[in-house]
Amino acid sequence: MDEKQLLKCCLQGEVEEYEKIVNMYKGKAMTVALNMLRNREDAEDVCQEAFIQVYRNLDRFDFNANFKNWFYSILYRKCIDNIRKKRRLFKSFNKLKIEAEKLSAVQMPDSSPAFPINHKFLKELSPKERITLILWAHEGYTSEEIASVLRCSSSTVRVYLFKARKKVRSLSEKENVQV
Amino acid sequence: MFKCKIVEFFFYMFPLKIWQDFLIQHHIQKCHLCLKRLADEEEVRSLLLQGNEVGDLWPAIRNRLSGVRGKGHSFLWGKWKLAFGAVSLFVVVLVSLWLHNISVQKKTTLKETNCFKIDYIKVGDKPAQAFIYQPKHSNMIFIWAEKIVEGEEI
Repeated sequence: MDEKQLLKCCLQGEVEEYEKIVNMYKGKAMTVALNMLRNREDAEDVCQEAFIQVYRNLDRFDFNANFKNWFYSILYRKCIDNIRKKRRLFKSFNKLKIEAEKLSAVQMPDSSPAFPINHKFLKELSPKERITLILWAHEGYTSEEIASVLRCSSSTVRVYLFKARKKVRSLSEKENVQV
Repeated sequence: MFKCKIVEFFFYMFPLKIWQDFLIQHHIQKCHLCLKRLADEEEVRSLLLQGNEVGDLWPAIRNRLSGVRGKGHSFLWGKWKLAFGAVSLFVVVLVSLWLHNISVQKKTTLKETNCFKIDYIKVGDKPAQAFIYQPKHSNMIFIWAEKIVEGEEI
């Protein structure tokens, strides 16, 4: 059974068929989420959320369109939501920390983000540059395909990609990363 | 090399996506010197984190999906949301029209009241004294005319 037939089965309520789709895409989804979020736990949560949203919105999927692109666009939005949520959390945590320090000399835990995987080059890229680079290098996507995932113009994608590739090259030159 | 530097200068000088894309397509993608300064696919791929070691996501997804058939639910919910939005919009438009109407009416009444005047009044073919009275918060106006007693000034 091919991907679209499986999806049609899922649409008819056969939840078990969805496991095949999940297994088909979980590796790719994890690669995207991991590079976007730089944290394995967050990446797994986001992948889970994305798969659930895809299932719940299957009736809105246009079966003439590319499922992978649709899936990636949902995953990308979930990643962005997670990044925003974290940013808000860090802001409020930092505020809390400053206020607590003012009130007492109680020591608060370190406020630096919990990124166990420290890839400097990923840190330097914006989320849009990151997703563009991942889809281009990992999936071999063209700027038009990336544009359909990001829902922006292909010229914008080309600019993101150029900036990202340039940053990576200059960083790897600085760090002397062996390719 | 000089041309590349100029292109780079103009690239960052005017950060308009269309302009930048124009430079990318017309120079950077064709220039081997510029391309040398960009990471290639292999290089990027080697730096990316690989998500191959993924745990089994299915049990957690299965648990959350059990009993939830999003299909009809989300679609219906979407329809209800649309209907609710349309009705709210209609109500807002109606209320604003009604409020607008009231304010226009008030303005008209005020204008009419302000414009009321009597230039001249006569009683028995002789000039008379006029008294105009409007009670507070009322649209009613009383006009009182009185004959002038001889020797009294108007």
